[in-house]
Amino acid sequence: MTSKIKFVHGNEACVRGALYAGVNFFAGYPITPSTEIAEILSQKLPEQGDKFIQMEDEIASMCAIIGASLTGHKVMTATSGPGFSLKQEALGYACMAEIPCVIVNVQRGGPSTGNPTHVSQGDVNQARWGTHGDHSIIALTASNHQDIFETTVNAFNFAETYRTPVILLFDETICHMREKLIIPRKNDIPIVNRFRTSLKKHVDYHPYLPREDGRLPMSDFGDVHRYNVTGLFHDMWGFPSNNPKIVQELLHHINDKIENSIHEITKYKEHYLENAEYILISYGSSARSAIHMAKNRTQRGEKIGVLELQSLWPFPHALVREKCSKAKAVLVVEMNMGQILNQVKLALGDSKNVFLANRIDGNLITPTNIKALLRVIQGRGV
Amino acid sequence: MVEKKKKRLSKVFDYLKHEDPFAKGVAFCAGCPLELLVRFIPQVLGNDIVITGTPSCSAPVLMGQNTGSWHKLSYYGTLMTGAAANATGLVRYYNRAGIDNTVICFNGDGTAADIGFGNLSGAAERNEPFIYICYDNEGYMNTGIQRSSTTPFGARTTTTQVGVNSRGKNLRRKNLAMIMAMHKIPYAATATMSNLEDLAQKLLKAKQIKEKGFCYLHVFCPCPTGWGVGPDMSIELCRKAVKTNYFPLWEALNGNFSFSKQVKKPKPVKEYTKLIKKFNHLSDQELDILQKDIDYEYSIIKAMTKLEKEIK
Repeated sequence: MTSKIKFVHGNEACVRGALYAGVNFFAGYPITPSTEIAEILSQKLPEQGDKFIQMEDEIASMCAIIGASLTGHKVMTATSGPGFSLKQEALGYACMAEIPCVIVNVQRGGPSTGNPTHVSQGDVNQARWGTHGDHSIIALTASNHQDIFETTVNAFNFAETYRTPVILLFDETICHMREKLIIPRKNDIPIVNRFRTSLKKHVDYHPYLPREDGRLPMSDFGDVHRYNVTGLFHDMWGFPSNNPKIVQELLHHINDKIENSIHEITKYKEHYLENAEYILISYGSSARSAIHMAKNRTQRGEKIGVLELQSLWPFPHALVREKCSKAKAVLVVEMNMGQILNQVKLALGDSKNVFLANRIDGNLITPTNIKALLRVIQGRGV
Repeated sequence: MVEKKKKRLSKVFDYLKHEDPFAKGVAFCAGCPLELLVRFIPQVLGNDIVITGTPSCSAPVLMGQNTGSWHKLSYYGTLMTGAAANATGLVRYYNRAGIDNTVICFNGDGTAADIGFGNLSGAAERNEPFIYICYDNEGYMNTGIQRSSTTPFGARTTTTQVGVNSRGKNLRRKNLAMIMAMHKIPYAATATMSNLEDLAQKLLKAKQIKEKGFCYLHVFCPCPTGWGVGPDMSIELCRKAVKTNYFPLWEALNGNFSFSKQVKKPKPVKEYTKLIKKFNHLSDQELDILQKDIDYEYSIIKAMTKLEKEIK
């Protein structure tokens, strides 16, 4: 059988990716612009005998997927800015209790109720630091429907591999836009399934004792092994502990398992980056405008390239430093007030040649907006 | 010549003593009874009211979102999670400062029964002196017709689909008005747009009683767009809902129930569901389940009304 070609909107591409990765539990709450994900899954999941629940609020839907994940399901929830804010406490719980889950945040204008039907990329820092306490998180993004599909599959893979919540930061423009999507054949993209313990019944199982490679085998909760799950600092049995050594070790563990795997997690795309004098760093829908502009200018002999980030957290500082080492200037193209710009400045150290091309009025940043700024930087006038 | 007697207008006009603060051409869907409701409340209660509300079907008009067509009232657009708590903040200040103001917390069923239920119940328990009006269109209509906990059994929505493995919502609806009355608040009542005099009386009663504490009004408000009915059918649906006991009209003062309108010979619920597309997949068996559920809810209210006499 050949690949299936579809003409779908971004929310559906995300759903297709999730189904490809094997999602079998979804709990959600209606919120523009991510509602379509819930609507389509309310049809698809019961069709294949799996569970869809519309919960009474955002907090409940986040907690429901945490519970379902513990019992061995691949789980997902979808929301947008205000809902994402509500989910933060439970998100921290999932980080602490090391529970794999995927949270889709189709970003809309904020803060607060903001601009529900318009595009923004303002939740980037919230994805990193929304929940309290030191923790590490994986956040991925995509600029077109094919990438949304693959990124969604990757999100499930990372969640299962690192036993952590993974956040998908999509944009309203992409998710409400229709585009071609080729659904890969089965096994074209590798799928990571739940890593279960091989220990039999009555054998002592330590839910929070990492193996040498750092992975923690899971046992379906309520099945053959009895263990404790908590948001408190806990020992290898899952029992609460305030022993300074255990507290420190656990905090290091939940941070290091992600920060030390940054090379496996980092996903990016290069566009016209070879010998580029001016580099645009972008992601999500704003990357489309950046790529369009770079393509046009490259055809006219200018050396402009785009580094499109597909993983935002953990931020690939080393990658940015390497790719931008020879650039005359770096332009961060995003639709917020410089959330990734700060990371790029941190990576490059020298912030004199790092500029921000942004738009925060609810409209998509256009190639012309970027070009106008670039001309100023190049000293070619306005 | 015999002088023609001036035809007397319906009694409901006696209650409309104040100006309609809304502009013409507000941004509701065609046939939405919510427009009638939002125009009706300030005409009965006066324009010196403070309305708080959340993102919902009424928000485009009450918040004046993306439209030039607005109103003259004070409107406080709150968050869905804290609608009743935000109103609490207002009334506590008014109380302290000695300001006589009627605060109306005007929300849909999603806020009241789902995401904002916690602080609605909290405000009722604390007996906060404001009026909470829930307009019940049985779903999240503003985000595109998803189910809520007041969506009835069998209804088709975009998250309770009709197909091989799913036959619409397979759970019964939450009887929110009853739950609120069970808080033993000073005043809880149900109303709908077909019985406007009753609605007006209940609004005035609530305004009077709110001095003593929390008042809750549950207004049945069909959604022509979401339910799949013509824009001319919304009032007819309200009427049918009352006549089939699908939505009985009652009030409860301090937990003492009484019917505002008792239907002598209630029609089968089929008479009501056949008018609505969201129910048109229901089999006779499923209709039986719905009928039993409605009979059950009605019998509880009936029992409650008798209970009051027993206690006396």
